[in-house]
Amino acid sequence: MSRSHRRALRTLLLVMATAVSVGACTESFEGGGACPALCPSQAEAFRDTTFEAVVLDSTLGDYPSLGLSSTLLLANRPDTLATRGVFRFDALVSVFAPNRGITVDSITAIDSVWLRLPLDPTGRRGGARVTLEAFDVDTTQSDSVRAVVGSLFRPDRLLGSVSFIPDSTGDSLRVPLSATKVVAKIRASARLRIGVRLSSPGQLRIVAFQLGAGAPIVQYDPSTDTTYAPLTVSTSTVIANATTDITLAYQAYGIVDRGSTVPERGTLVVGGFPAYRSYLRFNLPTRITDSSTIVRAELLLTQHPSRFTNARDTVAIVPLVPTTTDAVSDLRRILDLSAEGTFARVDTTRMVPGDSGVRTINVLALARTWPSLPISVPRALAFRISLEGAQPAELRFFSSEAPAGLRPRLRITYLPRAEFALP
Amino acid sequence: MIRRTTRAMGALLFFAVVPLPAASAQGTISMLGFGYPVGSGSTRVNGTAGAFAEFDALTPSNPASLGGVMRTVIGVQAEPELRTLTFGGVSERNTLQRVPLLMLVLPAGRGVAIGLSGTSFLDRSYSTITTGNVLIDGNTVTTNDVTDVRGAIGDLRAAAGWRVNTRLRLGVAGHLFTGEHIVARERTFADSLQFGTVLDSSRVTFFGTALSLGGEVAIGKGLAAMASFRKGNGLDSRIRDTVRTAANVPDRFGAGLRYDGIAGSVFAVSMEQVGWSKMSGLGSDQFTSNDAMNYRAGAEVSGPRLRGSALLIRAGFARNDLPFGIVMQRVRETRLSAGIGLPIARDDASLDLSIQRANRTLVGGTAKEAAWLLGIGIQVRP
Repeated sequence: MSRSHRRALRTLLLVMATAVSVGACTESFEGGGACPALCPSQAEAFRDTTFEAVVLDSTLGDYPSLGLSSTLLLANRPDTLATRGVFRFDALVSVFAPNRGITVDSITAIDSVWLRLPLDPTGRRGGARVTLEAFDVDTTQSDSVRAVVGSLFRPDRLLGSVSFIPDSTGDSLRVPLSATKVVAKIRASARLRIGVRLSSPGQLRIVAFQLGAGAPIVQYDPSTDTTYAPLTVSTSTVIANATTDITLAYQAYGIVDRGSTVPERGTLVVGGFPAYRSYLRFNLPTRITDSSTIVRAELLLTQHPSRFTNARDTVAIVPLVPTTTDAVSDLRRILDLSAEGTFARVDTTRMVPGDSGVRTINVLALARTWPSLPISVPRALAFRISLEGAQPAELRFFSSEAPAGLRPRLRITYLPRAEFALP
Repeated sequence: MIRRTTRAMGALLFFAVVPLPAASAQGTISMLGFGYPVGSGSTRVNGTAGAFAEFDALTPSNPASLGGVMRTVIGVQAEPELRTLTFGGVSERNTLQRVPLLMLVLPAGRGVAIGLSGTSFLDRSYSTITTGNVLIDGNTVTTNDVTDVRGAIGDLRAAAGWRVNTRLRLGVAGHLFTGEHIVARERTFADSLQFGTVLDSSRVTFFGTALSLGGEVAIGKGLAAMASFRKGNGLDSRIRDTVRTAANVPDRFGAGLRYDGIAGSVFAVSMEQVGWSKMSGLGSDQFTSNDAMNYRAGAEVSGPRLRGSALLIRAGFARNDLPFGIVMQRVRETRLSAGIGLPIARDDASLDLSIQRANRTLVGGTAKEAAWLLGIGIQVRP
C-alpha cells in the first residue's frame, strides 16, 4: 500500500469515526399524541386499598420534657387550664463599683427592682384587665417537687404585681418587685426564686429560653442613687449532682394546676396541656411493600371534638418519624429519638380541635421509605402538636381500640410491579 | 502498515460499538412488537434496497456468498434514520442511530472463506411520552407517562462459504440470537403532592439459535441463481435467568437472480420469506406477528471514474412486510434506494454510501411513517 493510499485510508477512517460519533449524538424529536394508539403496552392498573394497618397505637403524656420548650404558657382559664411559672435567680449580684471606680462595695440598698418577662405576642389571650402576681417561692424543702413549690404562692410571699390587659401587651412585661425583700436576699446572699401567676382569667406566652439561656431577667439599681445603671441578673440555679440540661431546665419552668383530662380508652390525643403525643405502628401487607410502588399513602384518622381551651383555633399536627429499631421498646424513648417529619418529607396538617370526622394525613413520602427499611425498624409514625407546651389546643382521634369504622386506617394506592419488557 | 491499520480499525470499532442513544419517539409503527427488522444488509446492499443480499459477501444472509473471497475484509457501517410519523393529523419526527453490521471475512484457502458478523436482527429502541388519565378511588387523575425502551436482538453469525468451482458456491452458518430489552417507565401525576411518581423498569434477555444454508449456481452466461434458508431453533425470553416465554427463531428463505453479463453492471432481483409468526409465543398476550414476503430489485452500474477507479452507482426498489403490527393490522413498507461505491486506496479499502426512502403504512389504519435511511459503510482489506 503506497503512502498516498495509507493517507487516504486514515482520512477515511477519521471521517467515518467522526460521522458515527456525531450521528450518535444527534437525537431529536418533535411530537404530540400518536401514543397510546401506537404504543400498546402491558398497562398494570392502579390498585386502591383502605385497611386497618395499625398494630399498635398509644398516647403518651407530659410533654414537652422540662426545659425543652422555649416558651412557657401562663394561663388562668377557668374550668380548663391554670398554670404558673417559676424563675430561678440563684446568683444575685451583691456588689457594685461606686462612681465607676476600681473599688467595689457591697450592695446595701437597691431601687427600681423589676422582673422583666419577654413575651410571645401570638400567645396572649384576654381583653379584660388581669393581675400578674410574683411570689417568693424559695424554699429549703424539696424545691423540685412541684406541689411544694406550688404551695408557696401565698400572700405573705408576694413580691410584687402588675395589672394589664393581655391583648394589649407588647413584647415584654415588667413586674415591679419589692426592693426591701430583694435587697434582703442580696444582703443575705440568698436565692431569688420568683413564681408568677395570673390572678384573673387571661393568658400569656412567656419566652422562657433564648440562645440556650433563660430569657427572663431581674433588674435593679445597686444604690438608691438612680444615676447608676441598673444591674441585670439572668436566670441561674444550682442543683447538686445535676446535669447541665437539668440545671437549665429548672431555671424557668411551669406548674400545671389544671390541664387536659387523661385520654379515655379508645382515644389518641395530640396536644393538650401538658401535651400528649400519639404513636402508631403499622403493618403493611408484603404484596404492597415488596412488590409494588406506592403512589398514594394517607393515614385516615377519625377525629372527635375536643372542648379543651382553644377548640376553634386552627392548629398544626406535626409528624414525627421514629428511627429506632425494635431493640428499643420503651415508647417514650422511641419518641425522644424520633425525627421531625420534615426530614422524611411528611408535612404538617392543619386541623381544628373542635371539629369531627375523618381527617387525612398524607404519609406518601414516609410510606415509600418503608420497603427499603431494615425489617428491624418498625414502620411507625407519631404526632405532636405544634407549639407543644406553649398552646393548650388538643386533637382527639379514635384509636385502634375504638369501634370498627372509627379506627385509624391507611389508604394506599399502589401499582404492582410487573415485567412489562416483553411487547 | 498492518499494525497501523489495525489500530485505526480498532478506533473505528470503538466508535461503532459505543452504545448509541436510541430514538426518541412519540409513537412509531416500525418499532412495534419486538422492533424493526433492520435487515442487516451492507451499505452496498442497502443501495439496492436489499436486492443484492443473496450474493453480497458482507451481508450475512446467504453464507455461500463468502465462497471464493480471497482477501481479509473488515466491514463496518453506520445507519442513521430520520423518521416522520403521521397519525391523526399529528406529525412527529425523530432521529435514531444504528450500527447495524460488523463483519469480518477471513479467507481460508481452496476457495473457502470464514465470515464472522454481528448484526441487528430486531431493533427496539424508542421513547414515548403520553398524557392520560387513571381512575383512582373513583377520581380521574391526570398522568404523564414516559416510557423508555432500549433493546435489540442481535444476530451473531459464524459462517463458511466454499467456492466449489466457477459455477457453484455453497455455504453454511450458525447463528446465535441474543439481546435484551430494558424498559423504563415513569409515571408522574399532575397532583404531585398527593401522588408519588412511579418509576419502574423491566429487563428481559433473549437467547436463540439458528442454522442456515445457502448456495449459488451459475445458470447461464452472466446469470446466476442464489438461494438460502435459515432454520430457526428455539428462541426464549428470560427474566432473571428464568425462561419466561419460548418460541422459535423465524425461518427464512431467500432466493435471487443476478445478471452481470454486461461489463461493469450487476442487476438482481430477489425475494425473501420470513416466518415471523414463529415468534408469536415470545411476547405477551397483546403481541402479534405476521409472516413477511419481501421483494427487491436493484442494479449497480459503473459510473464516472474517480482517481483512476470507477464510481459504482446503485439503485433499487423493495416492498417489504414488517412483522409486527397492532391487533392484526399489518405494517407494509416500500423502499426506494440509491447509493454509490467509491474505491479508495485502490483495492485496499472502499467507501459505500446509500440513501433509502422508506414509506410505511399500517394496513387498514391511518398511521403512516416515512423515513430517510442513510448508510455509510467502509470495507478495509488489509
